Amino acid sequence: MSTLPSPSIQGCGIGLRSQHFATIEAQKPAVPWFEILSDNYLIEGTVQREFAQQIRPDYPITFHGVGLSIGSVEPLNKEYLKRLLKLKKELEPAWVSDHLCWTSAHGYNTHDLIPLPYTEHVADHIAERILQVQDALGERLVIENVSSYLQFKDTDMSEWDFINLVIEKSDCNLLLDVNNIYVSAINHQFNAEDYLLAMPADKVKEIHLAGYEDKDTHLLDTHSRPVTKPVWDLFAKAVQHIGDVPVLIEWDNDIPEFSRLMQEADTAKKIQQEQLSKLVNT
Amino acid sequence: MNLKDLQNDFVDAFFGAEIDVDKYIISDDSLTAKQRFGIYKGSVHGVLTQALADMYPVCKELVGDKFFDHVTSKFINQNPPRSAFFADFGEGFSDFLANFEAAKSVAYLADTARLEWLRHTAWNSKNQEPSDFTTLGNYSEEQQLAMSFSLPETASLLQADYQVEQLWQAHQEANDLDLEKIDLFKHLNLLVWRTDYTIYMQELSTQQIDFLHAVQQNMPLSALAEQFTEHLADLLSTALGNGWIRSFHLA
Repeated sequence: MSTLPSPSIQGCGIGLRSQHFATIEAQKPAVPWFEILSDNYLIEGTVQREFAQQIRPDYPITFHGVGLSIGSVEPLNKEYLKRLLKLKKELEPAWVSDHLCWTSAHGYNTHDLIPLPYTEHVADHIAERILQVQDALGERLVIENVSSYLQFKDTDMSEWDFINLVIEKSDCNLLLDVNNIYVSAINHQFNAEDYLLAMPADKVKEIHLAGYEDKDTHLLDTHSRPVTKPVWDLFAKAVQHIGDVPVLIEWDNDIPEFSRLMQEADTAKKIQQEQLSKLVNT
Repeated sequence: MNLKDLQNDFVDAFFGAEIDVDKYIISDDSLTAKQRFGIYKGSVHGVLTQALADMYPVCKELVGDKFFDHVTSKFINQNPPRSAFFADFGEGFSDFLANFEAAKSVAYLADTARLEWLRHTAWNSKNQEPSDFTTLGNYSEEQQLAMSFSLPETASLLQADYQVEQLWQAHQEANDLDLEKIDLFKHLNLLVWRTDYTIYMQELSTQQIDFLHAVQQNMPLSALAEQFTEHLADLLSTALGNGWIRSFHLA
């Protein structure tokens, strides 16, 4: 029987990064939950795995991965899945998430998020793989929309229609990355609100927020900057559309002091509360 | 469009092959298909280059950012990651450097990379519970002689042609070791291991490293006694006292 606290996820969490281990150990900050990059915790006995075990009694945890490569045509990586399940048993996350993309092919692993053509055939392929993963997990997988810098000639539907189709076919849940919607909207010249309002609110388990870099010709989703004003504005609209769901601050490059991430989380909480108050008063 | 062909072509092109990206990607007024594909290729290489920079920070300082980017780009194209586990990527970088013509003028670079890889593996290896050595006396002499020992799972032994441990120390911010005073051209026997969240490096004598090599080969105590004769007691107590031996196993 589990001795870990119930993984109740609410409020604004922070993505756990090894650069902050010492601060978290020393200060035990008032963070409602941490999200771990599960790929970095799949080796037993590593420093990061020991740290996650150490803090787990004090903090609920969610998993966020890259390595399922849910959109790949290669068979699901059984060893990866086996290790993920072992980690899940050990840390009891509230849920397991990965990305709506592919990362591996031809025997190689890019360790990066590569987009897919949006067609019904591809949606069928992905839904089938999500169902396999869900069977193994014994629960719904949470899938995140990715930011993108290209569009495929074969794509015959919008990204938001594609996401809805995958969810409909697989009954998975959604991790809505508001920054990714904004980045892709600028890169592909669509209306971010059209995308946002098409999302199935009852399927959204979590919202991600992060910062991008403006490369003049396109926005690059680097997770290396504070959340920008247009993304905060879109986040406010997301709260209006979806309601009260957990929010997470991600920062992966040029990582600042932990206190800076707490500031971002405070801003997210403030905006969320303002929007939720408006919902109550209408 | 066949999804398998698309993914195979993309991955091949990420790691050096030439493909016709116009076949797959829409060009528009702001960016061509090739430029859009280039963003992804740059991102894939960026992630892997950053991983190598994190793993080999002293190597990067020794050769400078520009050369490091050049050599890692070649390494990535010739050794694309095959494992889904990111910690596996970067093995073999020291051998690659040893054979990389343009890096041969920095003779100690490959040994530095070997040391940094061992630190990386120590960080990513199991930090197992130690055996209770106070119970050794409970075993008969026969059982003790048949017993073997293990180094920590995080431990690796390094034999290098250069004093790269001191070089590594001199490149740490918290260390004021003077680079000018290091006698680099001296053989090094080193043990690298981790206890809890700290990685340790200990220079060893020839006899100590021979002893730890023998332990790694699961030699029973009787064979260790035969090989190290009157030195065994000292070697064993030093290894146990410093945590270089983590556990014992009955035959």
